[in-house]
Amino acid sequence: MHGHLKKPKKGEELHVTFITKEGDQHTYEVAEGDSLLDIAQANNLDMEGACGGSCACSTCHVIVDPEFYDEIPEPSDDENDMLDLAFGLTETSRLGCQVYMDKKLDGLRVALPAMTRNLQVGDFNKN
Amino acid sequence: MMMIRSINNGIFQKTIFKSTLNRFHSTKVAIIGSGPSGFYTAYHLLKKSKGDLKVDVFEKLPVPYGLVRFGVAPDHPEVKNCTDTFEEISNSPDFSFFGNVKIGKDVSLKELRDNYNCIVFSYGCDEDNLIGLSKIPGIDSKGVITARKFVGWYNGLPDFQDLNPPLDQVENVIIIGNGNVALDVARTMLVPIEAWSKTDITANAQNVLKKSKVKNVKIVARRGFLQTAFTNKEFRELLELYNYGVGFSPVPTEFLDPVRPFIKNFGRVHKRRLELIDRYFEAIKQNVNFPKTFELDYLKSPIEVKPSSKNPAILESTKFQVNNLLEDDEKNSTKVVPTDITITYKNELLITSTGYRGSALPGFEEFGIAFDEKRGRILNEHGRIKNSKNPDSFVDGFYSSGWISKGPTGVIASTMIDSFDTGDLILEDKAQGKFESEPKEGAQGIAKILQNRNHLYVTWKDWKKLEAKEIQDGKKVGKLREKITDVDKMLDVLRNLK
Ligand SMILES: Cc1cc2nc3c(=O)[nH]c(=O)nc-3n(C[C@H](O)[C@H](O)[C@H](O)COP(=O)(O)OP(=O)(O)OC[C@H]3O[C@@H](n4cnc5c(N)ncnc54)[C@H](O)[C@@H]3O)c2cc1C
Ligand SMILES: NC(=O)c1ccc[n+]([C@@H]2O[C@H](COP(=O)([O-])OP(=O)(O)OC[C@H]3O[C@@H](n4cnc5c(N)ncnc54)[C@H](OP(=O)(O)O)[C@@H]3O)[C@@H](O)[C@H]2O)c1
Ligand code: FES
Repeated sequence: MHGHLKKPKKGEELHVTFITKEGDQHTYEVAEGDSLLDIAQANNLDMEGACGGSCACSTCHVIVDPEFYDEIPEPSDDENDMLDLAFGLTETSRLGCQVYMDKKLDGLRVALPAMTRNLQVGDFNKN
Repeated sequence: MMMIRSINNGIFQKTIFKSTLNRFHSTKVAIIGSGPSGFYTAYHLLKKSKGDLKVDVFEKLPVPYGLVRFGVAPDHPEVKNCTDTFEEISNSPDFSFFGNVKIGKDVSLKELRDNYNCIVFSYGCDEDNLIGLSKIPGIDSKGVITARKFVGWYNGLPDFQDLNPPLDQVENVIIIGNGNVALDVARTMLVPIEAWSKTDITANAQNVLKKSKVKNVKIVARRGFLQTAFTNKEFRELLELYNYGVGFSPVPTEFLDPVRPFIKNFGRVHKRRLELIDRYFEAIKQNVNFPKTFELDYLKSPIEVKPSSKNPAILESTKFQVNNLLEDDEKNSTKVVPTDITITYKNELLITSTGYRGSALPGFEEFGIAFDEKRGRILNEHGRIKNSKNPDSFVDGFYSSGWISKGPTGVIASTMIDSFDTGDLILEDKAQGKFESEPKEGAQGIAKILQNRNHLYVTWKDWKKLEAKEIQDGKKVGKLREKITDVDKMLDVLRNLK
């Protein structure tokens, strides 16, 4: 189930830092294979994940530290379709439910975008 | 990947404790409408409040979830996972559900106001937007159906169960408008019937679709390629159907060539859209013998609908005027300018997919709630409602969220964000002491009114019983659920269980 993480094996802990909308930083020790959505939800961060991680809602949008962006496998068509609809999309945006921790991503930093009403889906559509 | 998830990690359990402390002093909030906006507003309020708030959701139908149940396509079950969150809210002791209660009819706005400190309008848009179409000769022919009715029909919305679109007599369908709803309708008509066998589409719709003779769906927009309203996700789903015998007719070069030189300046969405067209066309161009096709057409507005002289259930053709576009850089908008050129397409069915529309509730005038008749939405600023008698001021104690607040566009994610914002506003006003003036009875007061009227209302427990029956009936035929599609039948089921 989402929001429940496996405990990382000793010596194999990976680290990920979330920067919240308020600018607070939280670093967690996690296991390989955990998705960013699972990690955020297990730690009560404000990440909705409305579709339960099935790449159908874009409410798990994260902005990835450019230093790590290229280390993450490229987004699939499905993810790109949903990123089209994400609020405040950036060059290094990804969906938290589609990014899984692995060794290369140890130390990953991601920011949770501020969701404001000024940016509407239509603004991306109708530019 | 499991699609179920646990949310909130007990947030609502914690509320149990807090609520007992504050039961008698809590702020009573009534939310009208149980779609995503109603539920996400409720969720946010219950999650962020300090347990001193009670939220009751009123729904005119006996069943909850609005367009998640009656709009979202049956082959998009993952989109409906948002109901997991709504379920979780229902566990809160500070939440009640009143189904089968239409505000403005079964309970008046005044009665609601008398029993609550704060009222949120989240009742969505449930009419057709026919502005610009209603005067077209022939538009009221039987062979013209609004997308809203068609979607409601296949999704089991009680009002439209007698629609029975004549798909067994139709080969060519034209859809006016190219939003995501238009694409949902096109996909429904084109996918192989097996695609529905496990979904929650109604048994009736399955039967009609089984007999469908639809071969071609043409999606016609009044503006150009760059103003396309659908999203790439829905588009790609339609394109992918080439694996199932549904071809994509090339978009005429006259619509694409003029924009190609500017591709560098396009935003991400447009770039991808054009890239998808080129990529998928490349993939399918070997095969010219698709049994079914869909096509995109642009820069045309319907001006006359001709019913069939032999069969009043269907059409003979639809006549279009060809449009030019005028760019207004200042307003950042494009205007349709009609030309004298016309073109007539043969089609037996016309679906108008030109959007939904909201309407005012009885009682708005009494409370000075301003309604924007032109756009069909409540006049508001970020969810604070304008006073119709004095547009510079707001009406205390009333708020709005979702489609009735912003207008009928936006996916669930944007509806959610809007609802969270409205929730924050209410909490802000609460913190400033705006709702403290008098204690209100809330749910108990309304329950008394309904009981006095002998009006049967549906509680959350009742809904769960209905849902259990739907899921059980679905299981028998291998479907996700078999929806009950008639209000009386829903109520009968509940009466029999009581
Ligand atoms: C055909 C269609 C398909 C869609 N598919 C998707 C999709 O795949 N993905 C996605 O993200 N978004 C989709 N959307 C958009 C999504 O459905 C909306 O963003 C969302 O439902 C809007 O929520 P809402 O609560 O404002 O309105 P609604 O969902 O319409 O809810 C309003 C509720 O209020 C009730 N109500 C109305 N009047 C009263 C009254 N007087 N008293 C009591 N109750 C009342 C209604 O019965 C309804 O239950 C789709 C929309 C449509 C039309
Ligand atoms: N899978 C999904 O994510 C999904 C599925 C369904 C719906 N939805 C969402 O639900 C919302 C509503 O969808 P929608 O398709 O009803 O609305 P929409 O996206 O606003 O599209 C409406 C279409 O109707 C056209 N139109 C309006 N008036 C017209 C007229 N008089 N003559 C000709 N054309 C006219 C519009 O053209 P103009 O642009 O020229 O006005 C536009 O093409 C959208 O935000 C959509 O994304 C999402
Ligand atoms: S949780 Fe819905 S897209 Fe990631």
